[in-house]
Amino acid sequence: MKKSNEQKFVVVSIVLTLCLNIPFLLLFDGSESSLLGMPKGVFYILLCWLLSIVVVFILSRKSFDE
Amino acid sequence: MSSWLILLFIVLYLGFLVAIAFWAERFPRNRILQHSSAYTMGLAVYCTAWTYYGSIGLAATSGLFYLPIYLGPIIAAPLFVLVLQKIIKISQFTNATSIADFISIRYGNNRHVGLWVALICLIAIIPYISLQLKAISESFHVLNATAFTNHFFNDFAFYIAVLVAIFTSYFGTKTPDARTKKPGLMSIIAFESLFKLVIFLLAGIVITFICFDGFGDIHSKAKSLPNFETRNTIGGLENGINFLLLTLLSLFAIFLLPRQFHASVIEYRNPKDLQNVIWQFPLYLLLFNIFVFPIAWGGNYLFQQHHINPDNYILSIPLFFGYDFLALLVFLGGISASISMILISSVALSNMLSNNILIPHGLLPFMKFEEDKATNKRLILVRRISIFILIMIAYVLYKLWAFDFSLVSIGLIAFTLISQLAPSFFGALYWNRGSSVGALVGMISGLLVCMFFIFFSKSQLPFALNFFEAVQKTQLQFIPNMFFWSLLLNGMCYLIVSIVSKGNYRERNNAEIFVNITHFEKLKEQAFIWKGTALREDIIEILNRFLGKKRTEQAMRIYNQRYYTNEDSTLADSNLIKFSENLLTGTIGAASARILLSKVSHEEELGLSELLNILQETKETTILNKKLEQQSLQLTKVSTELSKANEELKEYDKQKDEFLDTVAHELKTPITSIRLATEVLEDEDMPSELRQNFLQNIISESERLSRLINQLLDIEKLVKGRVQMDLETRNFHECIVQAVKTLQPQCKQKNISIEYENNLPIFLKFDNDRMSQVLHNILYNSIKFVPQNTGKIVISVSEHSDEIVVCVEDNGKGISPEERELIFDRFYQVKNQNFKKPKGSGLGLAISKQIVEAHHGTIIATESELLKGAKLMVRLPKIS
Repeated sequence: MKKSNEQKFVVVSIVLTLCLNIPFLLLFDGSESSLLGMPKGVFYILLCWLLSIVVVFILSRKSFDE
Repeated sequence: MSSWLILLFIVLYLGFLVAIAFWAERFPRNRILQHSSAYTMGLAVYCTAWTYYGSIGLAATSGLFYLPIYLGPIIAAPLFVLVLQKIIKISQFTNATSIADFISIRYGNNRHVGLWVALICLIAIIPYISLQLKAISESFHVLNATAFTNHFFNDFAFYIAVLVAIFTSYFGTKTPDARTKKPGLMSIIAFESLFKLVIFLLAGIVITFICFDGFGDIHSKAKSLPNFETRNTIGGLENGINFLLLTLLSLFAIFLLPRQFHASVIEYRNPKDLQNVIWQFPLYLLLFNIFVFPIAWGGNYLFQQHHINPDNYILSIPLFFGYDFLALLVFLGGISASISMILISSVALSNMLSNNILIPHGLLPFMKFEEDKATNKRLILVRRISIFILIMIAYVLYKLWAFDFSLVSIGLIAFTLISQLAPSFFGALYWNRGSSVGALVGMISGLLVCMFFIFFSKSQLPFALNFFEAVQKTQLQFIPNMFFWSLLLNGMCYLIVSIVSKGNYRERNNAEIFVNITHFEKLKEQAFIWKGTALREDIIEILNRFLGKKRTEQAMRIYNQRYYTNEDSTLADSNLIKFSENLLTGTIGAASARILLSKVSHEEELGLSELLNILQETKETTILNKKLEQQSLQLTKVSTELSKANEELKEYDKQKDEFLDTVAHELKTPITSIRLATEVLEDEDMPSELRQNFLQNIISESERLSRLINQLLDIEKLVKGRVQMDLETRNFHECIVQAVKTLQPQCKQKNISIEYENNLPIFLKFDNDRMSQVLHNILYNSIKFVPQNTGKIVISVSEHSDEIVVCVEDNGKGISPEERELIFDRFYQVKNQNFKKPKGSGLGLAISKQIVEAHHGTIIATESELLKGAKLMVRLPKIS
């Protein structure tokens, strides 16, 4: 795999670490309001999680085929 | 639910698992087993009873803090392409069989490092196995509503432990080589991973949508509970740091847990596995987490007045609503989660126990037998006994100790203990200065801090009281605190001691290989520097003892082929030493392999600078080899291109000769005619009518000559771009009609027709004379090749938004695919002309192509579907 492609995966990991920890996590903290029946925090984490899967899936298809 | 019914289902389920294992052992190349998802399912052994039951308990009591355990792995998953791939490469290169082997090899095959890594793994994982047994036992009693018993023989978990021990001993130790893939074992783990996920999702759907009215209903009901708000928020910076530390803890665990190392490294098969696991594994974990919140808070709401262990909500809720069969399935899912963890962990731990503790630290002298099969049997026996001992110790621990702790607390303590391997493990991958002493001091100090936290946190001893009072001021929870302080001390010790104490040459050699594996992997044994003397015969004898004669012979054949060595040589070279060490590592571990070989060889101590020089030279040689390889590839490419160009030149030369032949012929014919006519005209008595005919002949032949010379000059000008096109907007339809009209005499002569039915004007910017020439050439060619009397030529024009397409199709012989491009070359004459001498000059289509391209259009030849002959297609842009 090309080095530039490997770097893309590292960037995904760094972005995930930032999104799934403080201070970003505190922006969506609070259980009073819910999204789809889940506390805002839980929903936010699951959404980031899902997006990361989609991004990694696309990257894996492109990077491994090159 | 009746205990007998539960036992019946358990027996059926276990029987089914055994059947899967036998099937997988029999057909290891099966498509299902070879699918990359099977590898992902192997890694999903990360989700144990802790995930299955414990995360619900944690979500119910601590809210969002069940999530960091999954966030670490999902952050790590994209990094697999770098880190895991590197670990796999090194592991395959060195034949490491476990994480203890992996780390000890990096630090110079140091048996003490291997021993401590193995000890840490045992200390961390045996209670973790107890946790699984506890989960099995608890869930069984919840399901059949019976009380716990302390008696071994009345305890359901005891029988499960014995069965799993027998099962693992059989399928986990079939060969003495610990690197051998275990399709039977891994197929069970893959199946169980899938089964527990499906059952968890099923239970989640039933609880959320049947027992309650969906996520919103559970949320609105749970909101009325006390502590709902505080439990479902991070709640400030201090907790945020707790969250971060727990995430980091699980990130380390996904690489360092022995079962994860075994599933991801030892059972790795091909790059496809890695390509898919990086998104499939996070997806698996996501699916496992969708229903954790509703089950946890649904349980809190339902059982607020009851004393029910939140860990068991997934069982208690279906039982509460009378879904007994669902509860039974949930129980089987829980058993799956526990058994798969016990299976793979006990195999990984037994490898470490035998290869890093028992054999190098005591059993090795007892393993030298004359018959090779006896040694293999002894090795397998050691591992089987190890598995039994490990599972039984775990069971005893569960009976004596694990009752007092929740699933989560034991799991997190295990993770923290395992994370003590992180500095020496990740240091091994990316830092070549790390030394064995540094790794040892780091690991032991980190372990001591953990022990201090575990055993002294509730002690009344003054120093402990003072310490924990001070620690509490950090506002960190118990596990993050323990993780932070232990890893801080561990990391610092590793760094400082490694900088102070330089490792020996062997450590440095391995460090260079680990850090720069991509440079060394192709070198194989040559990457290891060894100086000394050893007898080939002694080395082979050791191999015979531990691998068996057959395997040794096979291995030596490979070795001789790889290094072209002389089999009669009495002395072993460094390659043979390392080759043998790698082979033995797979069977008895790195430490024992080194001990054995050091006994039959006299190794000279190398200076560090000497080693680094040799390594630098090796590295430079490798780089040079790579460059040479690349240059050689480029040269081959250039050579291929040159020979292709040469072939083309030969073809052009041939065409040129043919062309000159044709031109000479074409020029000679009219000149001969003119000469003959002139000679005849010398006769003064010739009647005037005949004289007129001869004069007419001279004129027409002169015109023919002139035309040919003009064509030659024309193409030369077109190629060099010296022809100015007279571009004006005109009706292209008229141009076609004119071209058809001029060729009517030739058509009549051959008794054929040209069909053209368009009457609409087509306005286009083009050079009328030149385009007439193109159409004339194309049509003239078609006339030449269609059969007499039955020949047919069809012209069609289609107008598009940005171009017009003119097609000329005929029912001639057509043009073969390989000639379709060549016909537009100068001097080219198609091979299947139906007359011996080519009639044209071979310039018509070449000129046409140049003219069309000067109009920014294209001309191609294809097969006519309509008339089954040739089809020439001219595309002209509307704005050129």
